[in-house]
Amino acid sequence: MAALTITNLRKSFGSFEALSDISIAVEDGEFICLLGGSGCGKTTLLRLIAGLESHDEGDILLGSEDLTKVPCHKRNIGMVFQSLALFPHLNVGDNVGYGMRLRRIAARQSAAEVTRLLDMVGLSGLAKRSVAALSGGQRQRVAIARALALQPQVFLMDEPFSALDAALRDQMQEEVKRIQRDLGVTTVFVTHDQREAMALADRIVVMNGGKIEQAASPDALYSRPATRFVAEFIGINNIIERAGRPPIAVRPEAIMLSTHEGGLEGQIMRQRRLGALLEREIKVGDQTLHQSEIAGAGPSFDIGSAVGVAWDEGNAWELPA
Amino acid sequence: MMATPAYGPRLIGGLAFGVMAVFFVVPLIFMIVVSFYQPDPMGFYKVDFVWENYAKFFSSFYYTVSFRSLYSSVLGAVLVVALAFPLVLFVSDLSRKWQLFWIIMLLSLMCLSEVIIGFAWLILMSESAGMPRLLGWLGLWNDPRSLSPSFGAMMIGLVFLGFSIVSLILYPSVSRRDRSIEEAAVTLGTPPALVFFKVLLPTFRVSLLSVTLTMFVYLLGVFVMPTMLGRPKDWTMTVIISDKALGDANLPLGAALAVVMLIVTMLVLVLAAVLTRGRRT
Repeated sequence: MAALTITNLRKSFGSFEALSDISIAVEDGEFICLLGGSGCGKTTLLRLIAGLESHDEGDILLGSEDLTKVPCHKRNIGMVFQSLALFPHLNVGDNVGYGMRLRRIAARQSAAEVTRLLDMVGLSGLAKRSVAALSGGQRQRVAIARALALQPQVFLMDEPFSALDAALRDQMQEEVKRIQRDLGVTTVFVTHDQREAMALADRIVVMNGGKIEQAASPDALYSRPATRFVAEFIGINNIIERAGRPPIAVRPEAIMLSTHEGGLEGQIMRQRRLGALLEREIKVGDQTLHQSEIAGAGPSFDIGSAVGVAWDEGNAWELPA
Repeated sequence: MMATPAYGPRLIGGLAFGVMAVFFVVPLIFMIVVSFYQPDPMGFYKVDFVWENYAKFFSSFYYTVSFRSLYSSVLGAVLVVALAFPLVLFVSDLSRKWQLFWIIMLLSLMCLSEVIIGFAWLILMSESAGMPRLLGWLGLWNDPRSLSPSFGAMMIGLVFLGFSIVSLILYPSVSRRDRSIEEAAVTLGTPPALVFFKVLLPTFRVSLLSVTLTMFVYLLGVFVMPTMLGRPKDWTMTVIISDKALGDANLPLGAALAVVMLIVTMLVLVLAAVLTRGRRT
C-alpha cells in the first residue's frame, strides 16, 4: 500500500478542459470519494490514476514512484468499471483469476486465491458459474473480487453501484466499506450520489468544472461547506442572500418555525410527511426555504398559514459571496 | 375489453412464407425430382427414376471438384473474416465522421456487381496494364507475367467480394461493444498488444464463427469469380453445375450435383453448430 499524491494535474480533450490544476494527497489506506455532477472531471481523474488516459501536465505519485511514466498494464491498480466489464467468455472463477493466469501464477496457488477472494465477496462455490447467469449484485461482487485479485496498491471504482436498486446499493456499500477496511487498501471511488459518498468515504472530494471545490470529511463537508456549490450539492441547503454582506447557508433541520410575529415571516407553501420526517417549503419574500423536522417536534401548521422563521445561528454559516 | 388480434403482421408473415414456398421450396423439390431423370442428349431429360446421375458424382472428377469447392470457400471465408474483423475494429475507433466515410465506402463496394469487380481485377493483374507491368517497371520483377488466371487471383476476387458484406455485418456489434472490457483487461496487466487475442477474439468468437459460416455458404455459390480469375482446375462446383446443366444440356446431372452440394453444405453447417455448442458450455 502507498499514498497517492497528485499535483497540478491538467487534462484537456480538444478545447474542453476536463481537469484544471488538480492537487490532492490521498493517504495510505484512505477511502476517498470523488463527488460531482456529470462532466465535472471525476471520471477523468480516476482514469488518469488508472493510466487509461494520458495527462497533459502535473504529477501522479504512488509512494515515491512517478506513475505517469508507467503504462496502465504495469501499474498495480485494481479497477471496477461502471459497466463492470466482466469478461463474458470466462466463468466467475476465470474472471477473478484472469490476472493471475496472465502472470503465470501456478494453477493450484491461483485456484486457492480465487476461492479466498470469492469467499471474501460472498460468492463461495460459484467459481464455475457463467457470468451471464449471475444477478446484478453477484456481478458487482465478481468485479470487486477480480479488481482485488492482484493485491493492488490502489483500488479504483467508477460509479459501480449506479445500476443497482436502493436496497442492494446500501448492502454493496457496506460490503465495500468492510472489505476496504479489512484490506486497508487506498481507495478512490467515483460517484454522483452524495448519500453514497457520505456512507463510504473517509474524505469526500467535491469536484465541479474540472476543479476541486472542497476536500473534507463527510461531517466537515456537511456542517461547513466551503463554497456555495458544495452547499447546494451536499444536501438541500437554504442559501439566504443578505444585502451588503456575504450570503449564509442554513440546513433544513436548523430552521425553526413558530407562531411568533415580528422577525422574519413566511408562508407555508407545501408540506409532506416522509416517515418520521416532516418536510416543508416556506416562502419568505421571493425565496423558498426548505425546512425539515421530526414530525411532532414542533407546532403544526396548515398550508398557507403565516409563520415566524428563525434559525440557530450556530448552525448557519457564511459562504464566500 | 378483448384485444383484437393483430392480423397485419401475421398476414405479411404468411405472405412471405407463401412466396418462399413458391419460389424456393417448389424449385427445390423440382430439382430433386429432375436429379433422378434420365439425361437425353437430344432433349432436356426423359422422365425416369435412375441413380445414374448420382453415381457420376462418385467418379473422381466431380469428387475432386467438390472438395476443391469446399476448400476454396472455407479458405476464402476465413481470409475475409480475418481481414474484415481487424478493419472493423479499427474503423469503430475512429471519429464519427471517419466511421461514416468508411461505411459509405464499404456500401459502395457492395453496389459494384461481381462482373465489374472481376473485370477490374482482371485488368489489375494483366501483363499489359496492371500490377505486373508496374512491378516490372519499378524493377522489382524481372520477368513480369499476368497474375491471372490463378488460384491466388480467384482468392483475391472472392475475398474482395465478401469483404464489404462481412464488414457491414460485424460493424454494428463491434462499434457498440463495451470498450471498458478491453480497458479492464489492461488494468489487470494485459499488454495492449495482446488485448486483441486475450479479449476481443474470445468475446466475438460466436459472431465471428457465424459470419464465417455465412461467408462459406455465400462463396460456395459464387459463379463469376472462378470463371474470370481462376484456371479451369480452380473451378468450383457452381461453375461445373452450370456448365453441365446449360453447356451440355444435361439437366439431370446438374440437378444431382446441386443436390449433393446442398447436402454437403448442410452437413458442414450442422457440424459447425454442434462444435460451437459443445465449446460454449
